[in-house]
Amino acid sequence: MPLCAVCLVLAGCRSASRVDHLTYWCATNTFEIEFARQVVTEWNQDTTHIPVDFQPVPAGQSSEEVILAAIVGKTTPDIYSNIWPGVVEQYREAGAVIPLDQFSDFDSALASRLPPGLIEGFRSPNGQFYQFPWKGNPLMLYYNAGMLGGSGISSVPDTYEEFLSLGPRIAVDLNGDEHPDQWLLDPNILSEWWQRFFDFYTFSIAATGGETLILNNLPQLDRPETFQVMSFFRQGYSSGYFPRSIFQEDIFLKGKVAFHVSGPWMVPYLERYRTEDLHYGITTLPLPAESSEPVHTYGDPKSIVIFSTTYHPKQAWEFVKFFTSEANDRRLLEVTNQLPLRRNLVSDPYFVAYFNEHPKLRIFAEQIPYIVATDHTIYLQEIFDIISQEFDAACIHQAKPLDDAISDMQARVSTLIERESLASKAGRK
Amino acid sequence: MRRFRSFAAPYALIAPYGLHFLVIVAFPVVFSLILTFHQWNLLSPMKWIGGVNFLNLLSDPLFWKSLWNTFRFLVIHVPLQVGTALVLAEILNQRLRAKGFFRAVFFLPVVISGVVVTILWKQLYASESGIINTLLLSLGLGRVEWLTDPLIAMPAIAIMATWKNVGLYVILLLAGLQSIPRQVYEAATIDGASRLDQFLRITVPMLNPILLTVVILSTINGFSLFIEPYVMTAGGPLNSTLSMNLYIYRQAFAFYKMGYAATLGLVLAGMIFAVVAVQRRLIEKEF
Repeated sequence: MPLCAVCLVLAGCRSASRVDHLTYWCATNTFEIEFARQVVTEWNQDTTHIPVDFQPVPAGQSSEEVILAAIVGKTTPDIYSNIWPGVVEQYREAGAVIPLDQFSDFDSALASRLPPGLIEGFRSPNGQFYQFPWKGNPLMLYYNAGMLGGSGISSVPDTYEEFLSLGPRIAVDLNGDEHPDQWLLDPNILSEWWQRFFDFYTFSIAATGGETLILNNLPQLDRPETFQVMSFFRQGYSSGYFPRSIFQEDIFLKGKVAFHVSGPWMVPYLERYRTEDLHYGITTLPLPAESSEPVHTYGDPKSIVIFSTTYHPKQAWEFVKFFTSEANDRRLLEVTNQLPLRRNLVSDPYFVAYFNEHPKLRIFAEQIPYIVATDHTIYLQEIFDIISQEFDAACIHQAKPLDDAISDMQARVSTLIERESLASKAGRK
Repeated sequence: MRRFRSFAAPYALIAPYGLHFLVIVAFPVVFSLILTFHQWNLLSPMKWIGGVNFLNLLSDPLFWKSLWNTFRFLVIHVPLQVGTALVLAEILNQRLRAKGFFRAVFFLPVVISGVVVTILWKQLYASESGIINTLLLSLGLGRVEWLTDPLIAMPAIAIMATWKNVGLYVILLLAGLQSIPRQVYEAATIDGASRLDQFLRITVPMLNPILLTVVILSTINGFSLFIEPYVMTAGGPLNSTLSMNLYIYRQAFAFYKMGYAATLGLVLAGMIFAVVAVQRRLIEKEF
């Protein structure tokens, strides 16, 4: 009986404490914690605002796992700022996040912030918006300028053919053991589903001019661009230009690979750890054929959501707007070196000084209008797991013909969507 | 009052264990059984789907692949583990200097965290810069793709798992060896039995109960293969190291298909029960 009373009191306290403030979770890296601290401090200084308490997302194997546990336990914060759009649909279906377009100024806030081409990429299949796009990490091609120059290569390749033609000059045996000691490109060969965002998916987006994989609940994997992308990787692996190895070191940093696909987070890392003789550049991804159109890529965006456990949706939305204001976007750049998803980021005079000081990050900022997010489906992880298995079989190990792998990929993803939909319908009945 | 106390006391004494059993054992087992007939992603309410999970399992090629991989691992791992443990225990049972030191050395990997051991072996197995390949190359032998060749990856993991766990079985078998009376060996020597005859006809039969324990423990450990492929290969290459446990983990915590994961778990539990029953019967019959 006394225990019940204590629980009731604690529950009451918790409710009461949530009534007069907002809780906000940020990512766990040091720079983002510092950014969150600065933003929250400034917000709380205005006494007309509802106070915000912030903390890094609690420790766990991944932030998605922690958020999931919080949703199940109904201990979600009011606001979370580092959500991957690939999981928002799951949270929406569970009723864990609130639609943000219920606020009258949502559309204007979104339209004034985001490059026009990006807005639809964040809309849920039910037509509403459950996330506010915050920042992006466009994946681009890093190249080792010294290695290319040393091999007599004067320009970076634009097409798959040009790219692979560099293989014989780059992937060479330097110590006489009849095994290449440096490589052309180093995709990760582990068959975890999320690895395919950094090779297959990114190259598919570039090859298709910005298309994702699912349209009207139907997979679009059996298109010619899939064949071109997978053929590119298959040729790279079978020729020995791409290593079929798991490395314990960063081979781009060590100067053992000419090209590497990564996001802007790698710039500060390279600046800190590279040796003086590692000179690198950043360019767009190669395409199946020459094109004068801008090259698209996967943007690895992160969004902000408001959980349905909040007592203060309006105040939470006010905080989100404050959090993504122009001043705080510049603060995001200065404190974390991460790119806000904002239109005219490079040309806006408010940000020019930063990019003059960080010319390498300007290249990524210029790519922002051409980034693509993910499909909005609750089966995204499983779809990428299927892609990963077929990619592993056809490209990395050449254990399966390309045509078979692509048709199997298309069929398996179709079956998955169909089967899960049927099971869901059966459950509802 | 006294009667009530004498009646209630035994129940009060077993209550802690009873509670522990109900919460930690009985509830998860019953809940898992219920889950096998449901679709549940943790977020939305559970949906009754009858036997769909069992039907899906039968037509799921990755289930069969993971089952095959797990048995492949067992076939390599259990004989290797038991054989190595038996040989090492026999050596430690001889009059040997620094016996305590060697016992500690063999047991050390058992107490080191599985993840630490796995990361260490991942570095040893690295095809470009790993010590094992560097050694092979210096001996004029070829480079081996330990973790990226579909045929070699599972045996490589089995070797690592044997290294990690063998110390425990060495200690168990050593205790068994030390309990065999010396006089039996002396009588056999007088009768002209060779060392090999003594090992096969005295040591092995008299170790039967311990051997049975070691084989069963080793098999159950083998069925629970998870950390090694999770950290080293992510189930690849070509799903050749995808174990049942790794597959269950993925279904549950990557795809949030709790019902299907519970169904796989039920099949795995049944499999362990069946294999251990067969082993027990065979070993008891043989010796």
